[in-house]
Amino acid sequence: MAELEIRDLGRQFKSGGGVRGVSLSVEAGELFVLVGPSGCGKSTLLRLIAGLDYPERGEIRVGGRNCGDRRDLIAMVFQNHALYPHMSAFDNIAFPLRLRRTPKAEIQRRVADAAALAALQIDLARRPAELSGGERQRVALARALIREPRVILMDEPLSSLDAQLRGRLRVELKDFQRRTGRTIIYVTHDQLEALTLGDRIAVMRAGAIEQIGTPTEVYQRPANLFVATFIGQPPMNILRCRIRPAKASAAPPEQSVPAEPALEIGEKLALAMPFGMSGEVLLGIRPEDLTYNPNPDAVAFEAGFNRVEFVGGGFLAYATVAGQEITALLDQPVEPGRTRWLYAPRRSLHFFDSATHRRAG
Amino acid sequence: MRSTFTLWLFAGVPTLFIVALLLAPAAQGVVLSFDRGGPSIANYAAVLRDRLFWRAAAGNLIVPAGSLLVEFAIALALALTLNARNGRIAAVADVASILPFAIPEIVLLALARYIFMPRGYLNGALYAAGAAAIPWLVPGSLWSYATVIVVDAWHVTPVVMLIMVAGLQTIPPELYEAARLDGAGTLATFRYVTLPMLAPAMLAALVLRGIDALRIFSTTLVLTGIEGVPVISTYAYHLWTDAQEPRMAMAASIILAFVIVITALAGLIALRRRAVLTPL
Amino acid sequence: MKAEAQITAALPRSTAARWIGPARLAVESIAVLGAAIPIYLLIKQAITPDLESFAWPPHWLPRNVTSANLKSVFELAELRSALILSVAVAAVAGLIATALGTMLGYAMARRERMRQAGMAGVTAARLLPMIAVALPLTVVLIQVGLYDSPTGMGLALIHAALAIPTAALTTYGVFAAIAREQEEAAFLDGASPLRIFVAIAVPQAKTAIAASLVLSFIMSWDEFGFALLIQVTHRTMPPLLYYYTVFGDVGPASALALVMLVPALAVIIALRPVLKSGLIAGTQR
Repeated sequence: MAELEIRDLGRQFKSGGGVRGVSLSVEAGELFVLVGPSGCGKSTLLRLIAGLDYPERGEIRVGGRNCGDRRDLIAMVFQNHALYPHMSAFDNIAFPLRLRRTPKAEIQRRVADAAALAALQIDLARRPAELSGGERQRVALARALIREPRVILMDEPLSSLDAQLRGRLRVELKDFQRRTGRTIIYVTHDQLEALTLGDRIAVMRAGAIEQIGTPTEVYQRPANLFVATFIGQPPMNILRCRIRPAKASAAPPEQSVPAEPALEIGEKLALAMPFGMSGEVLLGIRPEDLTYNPNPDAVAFEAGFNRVEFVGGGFLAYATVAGQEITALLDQPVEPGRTRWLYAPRRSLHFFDSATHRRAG
Repeated sequence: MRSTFTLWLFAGVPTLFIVALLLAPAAQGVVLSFDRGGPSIANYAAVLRDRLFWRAAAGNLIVPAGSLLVEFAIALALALTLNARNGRIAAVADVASILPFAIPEIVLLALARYIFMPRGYLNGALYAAGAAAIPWLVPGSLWSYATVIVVDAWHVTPVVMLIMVAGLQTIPPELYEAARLDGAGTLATFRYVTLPMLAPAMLAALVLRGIDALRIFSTTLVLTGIEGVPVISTYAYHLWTDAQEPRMAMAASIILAFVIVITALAGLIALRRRAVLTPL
Repeated sequence: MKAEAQITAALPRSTAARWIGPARLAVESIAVLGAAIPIYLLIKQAITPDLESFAWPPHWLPRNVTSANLKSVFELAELRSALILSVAVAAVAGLIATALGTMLGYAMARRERMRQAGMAGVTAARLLPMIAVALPLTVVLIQVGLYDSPTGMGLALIHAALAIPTAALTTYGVFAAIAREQEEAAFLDGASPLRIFVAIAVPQAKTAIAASLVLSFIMSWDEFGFALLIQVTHRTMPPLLYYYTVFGDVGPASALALVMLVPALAVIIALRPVLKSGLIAGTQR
């Protein structure tokens, strides 16, 4: 049985926004990431799960129970951690227990346990203002842990930190989850964070879930054009193409995937299109899948290079293929103004229906 | 998070308190002012026939206008000066400039009486300088109006000044530097940078203080008594205490309240609904 | 910085610029004299015998110093009871205004509609001239037995109502600045709305609440009009000072005024930063 089960959840705001018809289930011990651009409804969904807002329809079950007040089952770590600035770290962590009139000795013991689990090694008499960003996060984690919730919700806890600290805390969070075995639902707008952190991720747009899957599934088999372009940086190239109906297989010079303004493809049509679609399609190619190396199993593009940026690990080239802009992440620089052939392995190509934008094949 | 009930309680109790103690009596005042053994406008008619009322109405126009003029001029000068200064002089002037407001109004007025009375400190100073004494507080004289205006302005100038300092501090320093590099002199900078940028704060102060100025009561009462420089508040007080005409007194005070509400509405519209509330 | 200084120096100084120095000095002198003269004269009159205050030409410096006036404030029954009554009225008014004003400020900070309604109500309450409220209020207070009450509680209530807007606006800004998320965290931690207010919001607004308390205390302490109309025989200090001044007891009047002055000065000077930030918040929304 799923730890958290959401069925057909709906909540609309007058200003637009909200979530509509969201269903998902999260298993115990899973780190589940909700990712999407700002305004996609991911924070609304999290607030609905937390009980900070109330759905207009649908239901939320935690541990199989559908109860109105889930505050005993759920803890939340907020964007800026929302520590109480006028309380010491100890009092911050102990606050939920104090509200429940827990005996002093037990508070002492449980705060110590929670601090240890959160790897918090500071003088707990200090106030949040005297703590570093990382220490604050650990206090927030300890405060979330102390009530022994079934699910911990995290609303972009890293987004206000600088890049370096973020990277470190991401590792720490993953460790934390492994160590404590907690079920975590994590909201972020950062697709990289989603990929690196999540056991599974749900990509959201306009109040609805576009795809749920493991990071590799979502990255390698995006369910639609939105997911394809949202996940991955630099974003996936999309080329408008026309597929001609398959001719007789014995037509070697025939071009296999000719784009609207014709694209050179070094392959047979029948092999490239096993799903037998034709007409307008959208072809997706990740910039990192493009190379200079001809490969027997690759499609070739003749690219006119406009601009090249050195991005540390390689060169990000901006090129035009048959009048359409693409980017390619290459290991060698290329002179702007030149034309060269780029190759992409056939299995790395993504096809999307030009009308529904859904994945085709 | 459902805290709406608590918040309504938090907003409702203080609001009820204010309504019960301030607004409800005022509303009852309206009712009583139309009562003379039955609904009647006799109270208003009696007030409007009274020559003292018209003197009070004139006073209620002259004194606030004069006071606003004086306090705005001094407050502007003070604000500009304090805003430009740093260091010890500024610190002293800063504290000093707020003190008159910190002095309880009645204390300042009591002192003003000692200063402006015929054998008071001011005439004493004139005497020491060999000049003739001036009848500062002779009832109904131009001097008495001037004195009342100066004393009233004296007390509230700090509030106007603080609002202006607040306004000045919102002007980005780059603007001054840019104006200077553009070749603007001191006067041009003031005319084209400071004044337009300060205008919203001044307008806010004008509405705020204008309303207060119309409510003038203590200054004229303490310095000149009721008939010296009559204003509507003291006139109503006179009807209430000396003349034993409570219904007329209420009619007079309702007329004043009405004038103030109209003025305030006009002012708020002029501010395009910008809030003009300050803690004081 | 250096380049900037050179640019400035290179620009011609206008004639107006040359007058700025003396003009500033003049303005500052007015400010200092406007504050120093009344305070000095008050102290001088309070510590010299009556006769000296009526001397002609006036004495500019005290000649005979006496503590009789100041002592009289605490010894003469009339003065002492006015002092006690003033303290009691101001304390009760300050406490009520701070409690209710803090609540109102919190509600205004948490709900936009309450903020608008609160601002409108507070404005309306502030528009009314004292006399238009005081006269009918007197009728009401007579009915409920709080008119001219020896405990001054009728006056305390009206002073509290007058000071609620001040307390609400002073605390409002601080409450508005508390991150919403903190209160949501507390809610999820299991706190009730009231508990959130008491344990999360109020401790962070301590300074502003304390400022409201002293400010509303002093507003009541200073208030003259309602006190004059409501406490007609059981007088607080302001109306008593009025009668003493008008009917001529210079010494005790000055001593009384001095006793009134000291806490008022202390509070306003100490609260200058609060007043300034409040004025900024009030004029720039």
